[in-house]
Amino acid sequence: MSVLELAAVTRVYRRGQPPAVDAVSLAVARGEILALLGPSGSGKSTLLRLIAGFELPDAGSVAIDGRVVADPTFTIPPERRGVGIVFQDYALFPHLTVEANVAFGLHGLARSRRHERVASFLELVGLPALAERYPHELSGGQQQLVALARALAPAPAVLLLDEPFSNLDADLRGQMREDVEKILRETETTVVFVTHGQDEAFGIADRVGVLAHGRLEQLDTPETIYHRPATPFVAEFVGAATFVAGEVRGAHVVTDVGAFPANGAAPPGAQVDVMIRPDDVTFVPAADGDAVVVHRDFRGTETMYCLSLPGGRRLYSSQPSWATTAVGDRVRLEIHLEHVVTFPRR
Amino acid sequence: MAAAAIAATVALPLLVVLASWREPAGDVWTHLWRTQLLELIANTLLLAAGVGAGTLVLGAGLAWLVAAFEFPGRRVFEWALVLPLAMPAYVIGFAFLALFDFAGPVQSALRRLAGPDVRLPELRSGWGVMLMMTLVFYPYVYVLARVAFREHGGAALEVARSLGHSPARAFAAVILPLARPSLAAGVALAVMEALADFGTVSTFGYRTLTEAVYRVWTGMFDRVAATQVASVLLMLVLGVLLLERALRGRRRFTGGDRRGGFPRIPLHGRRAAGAAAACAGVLSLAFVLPVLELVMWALHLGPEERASRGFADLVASTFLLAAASALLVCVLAVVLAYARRLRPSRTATAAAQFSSLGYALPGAVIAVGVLAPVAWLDGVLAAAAEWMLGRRLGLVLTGSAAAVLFAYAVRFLAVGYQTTEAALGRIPPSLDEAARSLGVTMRVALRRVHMPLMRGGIVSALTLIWVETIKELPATLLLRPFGIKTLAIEVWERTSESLWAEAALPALAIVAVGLVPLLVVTRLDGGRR
Repeated sequence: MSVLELAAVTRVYRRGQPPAVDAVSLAVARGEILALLGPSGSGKSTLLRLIAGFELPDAGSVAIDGRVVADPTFTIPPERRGVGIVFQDYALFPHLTVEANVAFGLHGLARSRRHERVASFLELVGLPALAERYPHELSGGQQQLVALARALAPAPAVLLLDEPFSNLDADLRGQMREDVEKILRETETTVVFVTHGQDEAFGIADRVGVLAHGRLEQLDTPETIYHRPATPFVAEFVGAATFVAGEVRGAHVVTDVGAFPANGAAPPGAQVDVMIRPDDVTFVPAADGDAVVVHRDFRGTETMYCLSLPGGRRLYSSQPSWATTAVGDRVRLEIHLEHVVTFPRR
Repeated sequence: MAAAAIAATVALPLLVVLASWREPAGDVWTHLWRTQLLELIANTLLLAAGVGAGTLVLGAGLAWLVAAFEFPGRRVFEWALVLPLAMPAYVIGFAFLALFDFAGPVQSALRRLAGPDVRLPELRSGWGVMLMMTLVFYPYVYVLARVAFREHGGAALEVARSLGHSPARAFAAVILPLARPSLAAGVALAVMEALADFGTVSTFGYRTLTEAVYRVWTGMFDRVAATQVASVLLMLVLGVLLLERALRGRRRFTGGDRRGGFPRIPLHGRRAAGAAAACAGVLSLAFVLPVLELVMWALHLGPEERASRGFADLVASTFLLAAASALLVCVLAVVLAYARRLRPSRTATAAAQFSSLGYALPGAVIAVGVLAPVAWLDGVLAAAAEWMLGRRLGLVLTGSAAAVLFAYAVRFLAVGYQTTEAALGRIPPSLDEAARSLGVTMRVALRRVHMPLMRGGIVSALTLIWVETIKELPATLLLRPFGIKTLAIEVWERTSESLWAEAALPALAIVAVGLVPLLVVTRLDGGRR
């Protein structure tokens, strides 16, 4: 059974303007981690606020645990929804100790029970020694863990994370991602989190929903999103992609850079764009090659090459960083498409 | 809802005053119109213009001295020049009257030195009132101008000088225009205070609209005519507000360079001495001299008079009334600010802006505006009591603390609102949402999250309102409960009878209380740097 269910949820901030969230439907299963991925202004934060109850839908409905909590005529206020939130700025109460922060959402418990519960959640996030500290005495990562403990302590049906790692230094981010995911898996929490970085979404989430202009473009596993993007927008947003014009002839798509199996995705004669990712493209230096290296971008673990083909077409290729080809060298291309993704010609 | 109710209540007196023209003009009004009104308006305008010009020159001049130059004592003068703000105009007024009276020490000394016929120009005149008010209101301009000069003037000054301007020319050509919005705001504040002042003009016998409101009310017992005079005054105040808006202009000089100012130009020799003397002169005239005089008088008073129960009672009742005012206004301000935070609707914003108008209204205007609704409510109460209890109740609210507290709420809500709103604004909105997501309603969140975090702001709002209430004279005078006296009223009554020495002790108490927020503010300022 799904814990969270959105049915055609729409939010229009201003009449006449395009909706911030446009008829989004999705369901999250118990214990699942769902990432909402999109550029800024795509409506992902609004969607999160709609689930939390800080925004009201203009159409559609939100249901938690099978109970409708919001539709255009009816709403349950945020404080009675059983939704936990970890805010982008953590939003710890600066006048309360770590312990009091975590205890803030525990209502109607005897003092000793509450104390126990706070202790067990501080234990969970690995900060039992910091109970008496104030938020400003903690590092960014510790603040985030306290915010997580605070949000988890009342046992919410759904936990929402808003850009959870964006306020952390880059060197801390990877470690925090691992720690947070471990805690979420251990507690079997149902999670929706919002991010604009696809590596965060891919690294943690069971499924990823990609949003653009308020619409849910695709909702699927990270692998499918990456390899079989549903729209050109998804293809470009979750990784570099170049589109090459082609035509379906028989069982193949024929392009300037080679022919690929068409897999029946489009009828013969159709004009299509074939998606090519940098990791599909390799090359070997060759004096008689028809491509030229025009730019080289060293990125540490990989090197991104920009190659110019006859007729001015450009393709990108990512190569292990230990191999070096100089700008201006001639090369011969090899393209291996594991998944051939085509879109109708734009 | 709550915000709209508070705003409506606070706006009521204003509307009452504006609506006074619906009632037919009475005999008193006709009489006033024929005999004095033009003179009253002319006097009031003259006073406003004089104080505006005086505070502009004095405030901006002193601010430029301490902002741009280095001279002996500059650091002390920089904060000490704010001190006259603690001195209500009516206190400095009577101190000067006593000092320069015909029988006072200055004129006596002059006569002894230069012969019996030497006279100083009469202080009890329009010029005298302007001088007094300029001396105590210039800090409004000074404070804002100093900040503007320091924060925005640095780069402009350096550029102007690199282009070959002398400091004086750079000041006139670049710095002054840059600081214009601040100067306009400061002068507007000073002029508002001048229009609101009742104590000084009445002790100096200078006839203005504020003083006429009081005279018509208490001397001729004509509430309608008093309200109509008040409405003329109200028009002038609104005119000043609009003028300030216009002068501020649409240009916004935000940002500037936040480098923390620019190196001051060192002065030497005679110039340094001149700068120090100018600051010292203003400071001693506006603060040191009057305070010393008050202290002398207070000391001269016999010990039995000083320790008399009367003074202790006076202090107690003043402080108590002020505390009630501070508490009431603060509660209203927090409710208003919080309501606006929860639902930043146009109504709430308008309510907040409207209620902040009260601070610009002279106490006398508010007093006449408060009386009508309170009297009406009294009538309703009396009728209800007669109907329910079957007996007459008399006037419950009129002449009780309720009326004067209502007036304080109108006058000081802006002070409370601005302070608490600023404190509330520093709390990130995500804390509200965090509290709600943890199962806490907004009402509970106010108590558990916002109030503790606003503590500093609430304490300073309480302090400011408390002090302002203690200094307030006209509304208190017109609306005070029977038998209750405040320090300000005591000072005013004694000085109207020329009992200078007896006014000294309560006046000193007021000045001491007025120093509290100044010291707190300068300390906070220092802490931030």
